[in-house]
Amino acid sequence: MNTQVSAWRAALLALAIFAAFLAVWQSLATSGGGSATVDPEYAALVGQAAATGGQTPFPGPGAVAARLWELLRDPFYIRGPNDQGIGIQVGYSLLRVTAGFLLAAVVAVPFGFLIGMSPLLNAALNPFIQVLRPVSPLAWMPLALYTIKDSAVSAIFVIFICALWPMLLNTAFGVASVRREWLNVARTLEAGTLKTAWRVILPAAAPTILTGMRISIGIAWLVIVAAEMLVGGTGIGYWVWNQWNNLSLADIVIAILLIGLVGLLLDRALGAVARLVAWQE
Amino acid sequence: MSDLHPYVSVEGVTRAYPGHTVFQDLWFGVNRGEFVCLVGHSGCGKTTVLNILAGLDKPDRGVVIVDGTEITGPSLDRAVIFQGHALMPWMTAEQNVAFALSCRHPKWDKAQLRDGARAALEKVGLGGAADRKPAMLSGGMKQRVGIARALALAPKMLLMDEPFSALDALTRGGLQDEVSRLVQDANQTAFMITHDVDEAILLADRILLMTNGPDSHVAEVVQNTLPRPRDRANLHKLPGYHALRDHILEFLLTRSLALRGNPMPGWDRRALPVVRVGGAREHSPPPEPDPAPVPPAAVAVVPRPVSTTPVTKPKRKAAMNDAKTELGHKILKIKKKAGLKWAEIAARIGMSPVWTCALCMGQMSAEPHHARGLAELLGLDEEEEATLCEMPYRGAQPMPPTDPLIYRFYELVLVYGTTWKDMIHEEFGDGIMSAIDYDMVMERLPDQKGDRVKLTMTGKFLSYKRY
Repeated sequence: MNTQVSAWRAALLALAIFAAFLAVWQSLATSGGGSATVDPEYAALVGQAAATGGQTPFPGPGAVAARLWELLRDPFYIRGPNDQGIGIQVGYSLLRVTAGFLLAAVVAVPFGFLIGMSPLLNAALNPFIQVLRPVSPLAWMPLALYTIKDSAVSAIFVIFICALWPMLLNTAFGVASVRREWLNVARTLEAGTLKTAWRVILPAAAPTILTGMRISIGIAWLVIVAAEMLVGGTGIGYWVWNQWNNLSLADIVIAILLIGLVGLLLDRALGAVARLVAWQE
Repeated sequence: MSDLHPYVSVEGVTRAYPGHTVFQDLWFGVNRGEFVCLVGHSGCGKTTVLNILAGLDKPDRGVVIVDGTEITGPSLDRAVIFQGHALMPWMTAEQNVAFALSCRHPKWDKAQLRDGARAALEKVGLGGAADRKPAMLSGGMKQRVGIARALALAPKMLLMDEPFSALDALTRGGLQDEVSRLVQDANQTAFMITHDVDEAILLADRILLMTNGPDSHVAEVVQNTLPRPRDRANLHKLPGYHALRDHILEFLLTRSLALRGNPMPGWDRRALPVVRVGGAREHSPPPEPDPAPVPPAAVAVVPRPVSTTPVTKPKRKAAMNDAKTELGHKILKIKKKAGLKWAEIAARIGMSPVWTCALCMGQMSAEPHHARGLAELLGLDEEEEATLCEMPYRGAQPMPPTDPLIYRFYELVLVYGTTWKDMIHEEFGDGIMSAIDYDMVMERLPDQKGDRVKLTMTGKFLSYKRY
């Protein structure tokens, strides 16, 4: 399976798969999978969404595309706290992820350096890291809300916590596995600790650190949706939750698409940085 | 060569781990402007000696005094050329050298560093490759950058840890000549460890011979009296070269093992015996008369087989497997098929001929940098190449008492050009053995102060065929 595939053939196949997917989606959406009969009194009670009973609320590709066009035509409007453009929502989420991620990097990289350079610290801190690392970041949410008493900051804290571990561990690993011979070169050159850290260890460990950052940003983007569903207010996660409450499934499909695309862009951006610091023996 | 106040003085240095003494109470010195080589087998602790001199390792007891001061750690005054080039792969060749220069001259600005690095690279003939990263350089070029980096520091002393052992034979030769020239031009004090005899003879003023480990010691100091300038092209024509080479080889093949933990009588660790091989033989005629190479006069070979009955085929095959490792068998096959000489095969592997032969006989395991050449020679894939390094290594186990003598035997075969054929000519006419259950006794003749060796083959000739 290692043979080169021509790009246009792959693209053609991808397009075909996408077309097939759309066709299946369309047929399922129109076949009326849920033809539930709705009691008229109940319909009167719950309002218009349920009153359209007999018709599945799941939109077809056409409806989603129409809604997407509607949303993208004016992504940055603000009409009150509960009705803001999708661009604004994604912007809020990105802001939180960036803040939490940068905070985590500021903490994780220096600490990772210390842990990587000192086997003693590594051994001492490892149990804590191993216990805290598998904790779902959302489990911190109540504690964060209680102590910080600010939902916006709590969301950033949750991002910080989830982005911390991969960066910390990768930095420590990268630093600890810098070649003995390079360190020996630095020692015989009487390079100071700071110079060695900056000119030798950091560049040597940079690819590993960047890998950690890439994992971190992926996790952070995963977690932000759940965190915003909990804290509410703004952000793409909150928007998804809001549209679920409105039973507007087209919006949710669009949100999924957007979340995926933004996640891809974040990963690509860090991938580009990783290529800058990569070295080859 | 006054040893009273050497520039570097190793005094009573011991390095030991619990249950394992690398060496103890080591004494030797290096004079200013002198090139000293430490020669010994892998595992004898010679890298540890160098690391202690570099300040990268600390002795458990004893001190190293350089220029009147005890060393406490690494210093820019003792530049190291590492076995692996140890270049930083994220820096270009120029940046690697500039990094070293920036440590030497913290106040230099960027332009000064760049010019300094360029100049150092020009000196080793790499001016055109300054902007390339190590991944874009060949093995020899990388090591040149390593040399440039060390020399750019203008160190008081140059320490080299088998700097050429990872290179192919051709590149190695070129670099040896170059280092020889650079060190001579700068009158650089240098200390190098190696297991390549020719390298030591080419470069060194004095050669320290170290016995096998553990608990190794420096058995003697060989004074290299060959005139300078030497280069590889004329080295073997210099008077005394062969005697010197034989002496060191003989040490590596036989005495390095025999003397382990068992120094010669009268050996004083603080006043190591100094041997002047080259000078002593300079006036005597060359030991090997041409055209028919025979063992040198100093060695009397007395083949005396116990059983001379040629054996039948199946038994012969078993004997083959017994006598040689599979690897050796493969190499011998290639050797016969292509009509190669040992020296040619050895050059391809990147090992000395004697060691190649020892390798074939399963007396040694391949080191990784030899495995590459071996794999190429044998056409092996990567997986098989990896197994070469795990070949059974009889040297690692306690050796039966006859084994050092087998080394001696290889030497007869390879160094003196003696063939099996010559050795048993009297018994078999033109017959040559393809396998022998080697069980030989070699003894120093008591009446000749150990200079004459009697070789008695008491083994069975398991097969022989017309050649």
